[in-house]
Amino acid sequence: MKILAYIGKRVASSLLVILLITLALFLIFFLLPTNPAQLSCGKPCTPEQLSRVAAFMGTDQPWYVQMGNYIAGIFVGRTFGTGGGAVVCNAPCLGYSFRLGEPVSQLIADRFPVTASIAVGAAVLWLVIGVATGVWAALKRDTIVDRTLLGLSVVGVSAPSYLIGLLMVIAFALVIQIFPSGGYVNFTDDPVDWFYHLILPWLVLAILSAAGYTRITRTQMIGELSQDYIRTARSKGVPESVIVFKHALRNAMLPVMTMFGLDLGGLLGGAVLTEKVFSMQGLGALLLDSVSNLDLQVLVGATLFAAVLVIIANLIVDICYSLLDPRVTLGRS
Amino acid sequence: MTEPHAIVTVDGLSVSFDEREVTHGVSLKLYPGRITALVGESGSGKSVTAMALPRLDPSVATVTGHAYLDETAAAGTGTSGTSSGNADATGRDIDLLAADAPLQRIRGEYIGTVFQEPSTAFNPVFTLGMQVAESLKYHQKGLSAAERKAKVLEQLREVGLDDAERVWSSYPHELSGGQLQRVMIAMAIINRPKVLIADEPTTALDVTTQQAILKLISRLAAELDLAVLLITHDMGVVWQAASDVYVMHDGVIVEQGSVADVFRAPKDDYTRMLLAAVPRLHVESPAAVPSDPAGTDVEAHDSTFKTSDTTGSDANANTPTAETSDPIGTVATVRNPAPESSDPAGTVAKVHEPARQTSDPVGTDVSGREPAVKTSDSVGTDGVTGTDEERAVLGDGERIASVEDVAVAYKPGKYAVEGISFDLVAGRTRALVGESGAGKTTIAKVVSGQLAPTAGRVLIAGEDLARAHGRRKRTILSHMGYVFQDSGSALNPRKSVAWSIAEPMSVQGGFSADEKRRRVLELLDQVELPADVADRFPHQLSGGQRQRVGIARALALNPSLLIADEPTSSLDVTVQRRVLDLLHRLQCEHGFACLFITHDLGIVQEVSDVITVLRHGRVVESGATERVLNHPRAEYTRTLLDASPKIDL
Repeated sequence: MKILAYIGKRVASSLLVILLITLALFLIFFLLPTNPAQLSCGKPCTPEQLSRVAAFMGTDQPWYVQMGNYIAGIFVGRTFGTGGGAVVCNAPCLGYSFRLGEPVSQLIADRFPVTASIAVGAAVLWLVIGVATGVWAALKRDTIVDRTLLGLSVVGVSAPSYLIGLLMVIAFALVIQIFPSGGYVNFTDDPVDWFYHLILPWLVLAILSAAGYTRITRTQMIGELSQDYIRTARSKGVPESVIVFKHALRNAMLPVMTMFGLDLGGLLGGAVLTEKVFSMQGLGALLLDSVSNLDLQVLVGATLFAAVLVIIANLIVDICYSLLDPRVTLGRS
Repeated sequence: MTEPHAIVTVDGLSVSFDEREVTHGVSLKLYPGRITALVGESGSGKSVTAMALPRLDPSVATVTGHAYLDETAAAGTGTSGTSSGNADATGRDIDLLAADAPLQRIRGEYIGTVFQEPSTAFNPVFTLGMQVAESLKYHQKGLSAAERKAKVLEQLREVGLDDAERVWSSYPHELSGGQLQRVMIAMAIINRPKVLIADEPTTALDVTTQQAILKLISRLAAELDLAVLLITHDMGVVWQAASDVYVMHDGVIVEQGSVADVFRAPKDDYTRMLLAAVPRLHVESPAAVPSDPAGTDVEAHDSTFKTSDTTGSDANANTPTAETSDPIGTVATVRNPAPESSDPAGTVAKVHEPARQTSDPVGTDVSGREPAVKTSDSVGTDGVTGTDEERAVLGDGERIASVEDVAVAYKPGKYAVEGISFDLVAGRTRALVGESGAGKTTIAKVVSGQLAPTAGRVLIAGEDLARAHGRRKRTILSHMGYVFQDSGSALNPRKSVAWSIAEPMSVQGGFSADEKRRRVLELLDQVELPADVADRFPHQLSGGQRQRVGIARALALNPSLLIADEPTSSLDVTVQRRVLDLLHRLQCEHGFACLFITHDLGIVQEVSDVITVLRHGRVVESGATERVLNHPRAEYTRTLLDASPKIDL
């Protein structure tokens, strides 16, 4: 019961955050010195045509009216224009791409499975790799193993994803040719092929992100292993493996989880560079596309969607945190 | 009749860190059913020595020497109540420090360990039940989860946690320190080890809780024939609980013997100094206080405690050496100023009736909740104040500060302190006494203007502190010095000592650099520190030196009021002695009023003229120190007094 009240409170405050994000997006994107109507006006574009298009898209209104319409559209849907030429965007309407002729929500729905496949798989992989190497480094503290892992993690943290990505493509797709160099296959069409296509993107993202997890896990584990309760566990004759993997790791994982939630939430909003390198049509590619074509409705819709994902991820992390750490009481700040 | 047989014989144990030897060939013996104290100041090597036995020393330490665990101890584990201590050892003892020692069995099965800080010694994310059961899991492997739980619950009840089911499913942060320490003891003895190492088990606890825990350990030692190694820095604890003592200094045992012998006739200079430094509480017999039902209850606690102590010597009496068992018997009598001391036969009767002790209802009481929680305060909320009596002690000196009916609420209706009134008089010291959470520091904060009272007011030299702001408030505060508890963190680590001492002058303004420097040197001289300390940094000083710097800073502006918040509680006893002497001398010279916060009644008796006893944010009793300590009117004061270690020779 307590947990439901807590979730309710968090959802309410999240809604406020989302509203503020929407406001910021509108201020940034719709006040840019570009006229969205201009882009859809066609050529040649007379002032009459332009104002007609602007009226059709609703961009002739003041920005706050536009924002009101946009927000209303999310809940009740909206219709652009009137009569036979009217374009209907059903709720939840996150905007309408006049360039692609599709509602933004539909675009997101199409692209999200691709991004989610990349993100979730990579996240699981990097969590396993990062935590395992982090624990290993902590146990082998100040030995050659520790230093090697730390050195590698510096490379991982600092290398850009397109570099690692392209190197992987060259190595495993072009030279040895064991994995496809790009593309995406729906899971429902062919699960094996789906998996096969995703291995390289997963590896790229995992190598990059695991490095950070190695470091934070190492630091946390070293800290936890020096705590008093570890000595208490030893004094009971608890085997060292149990001390490390049960007593210390559970405590060490708490901050790791916070980081994981944020990273995963952010990645679900679009793995821009990785999608580009492996030519996958995910949310990242959609965002990139909309930026280069100044498709502002898509940009706002996709960004808002990403923001909501981060907020949800955060909420899930906080709930998990309270389940893992009894000292954290939900609903008390 | 056989020779007393040591269960653990430590022989030439040395511990080194990075080639640097910190303990040098320590040898000691532990006997079944007896509490042996290893006492010393910080850095003496007492903890390192004790922790080396179950090899819980830090991994960088190198341990040499031998520590033999009697073979019977290993044989007797896992079954409760088997008596060891008989001398038919076959000589196949286990060397605890050998490379091939069965570490996992030694830890938990042969030796149980209780640590200092119960709040950090448990894993915060697991239930206490799981953590106690874990102790069983790796030693008594055949048990099912349900059997383990049953055993744990039984053990929890045995150490006095009556609602064992609730404790089972609680997390560490949900219990008090005293309760946690009971759980820790349960965890340590659940496999019925023959040896219990207790590393400062009561240092983090309030005095009434300390007493209850020490009683519990004494009772278990007697009942389970447990050899207890009690590590402590507190001579009062040694006196209260142990029968034998080893005094350690700079990694060497400087003196050993029965507690009675060592306390009465210390042979080593260091032991003498240590004993002389302990602030001792001298009070008239608490039994002189006329009948009060709860009061007798408290005394009964005490007598049970002493009984179990005597039982310790009884266990020894099975295997007596004339010179050890006899003095301890005497001690038991000497330590009982209460009626039974006049009845030597009573003591004897108890020695021969350990069973009575178990069936004693008070005995169960002792093992129950902390007495402080349980004892109802008949005095009520208004407390006992002896205004006339205080006036008699304080004389007609200048009233430096008046606290008038002060209350502080953190939430509406939730008072941290309430109805606090007292005066602080020039040249006199008022002690503010109470257990943790009593509101001592809250009051100090109100008096020093760090916290505005929700109700009531604080007048400093006639001015209302809460109404003053800006420069006026600064001027009022300039008449006030504050000495903090933790000398280590109360000084800015990146600033020199001179800067820290001069800071109050810098804040007030109006002092030239030369004036400040001169004053700093003068103050250093007053607190008996060499002038070259001025340009050093806090980390280059010892704890005692840092506290002197803290006092020098507090005195920088010649305050008329000094607030000292547990100024010596983080210091070793010999250092504490010197700091207390210093404070006393400074007060005589400068004549400031002093508000001295402490939980140690021995210190109170030494430093204060009047005393205010607090409990749960209210004044329980207030009056002249000697009267309050010798003839307490409030029941809670009596409880505190009773729980305080008293070294009576």
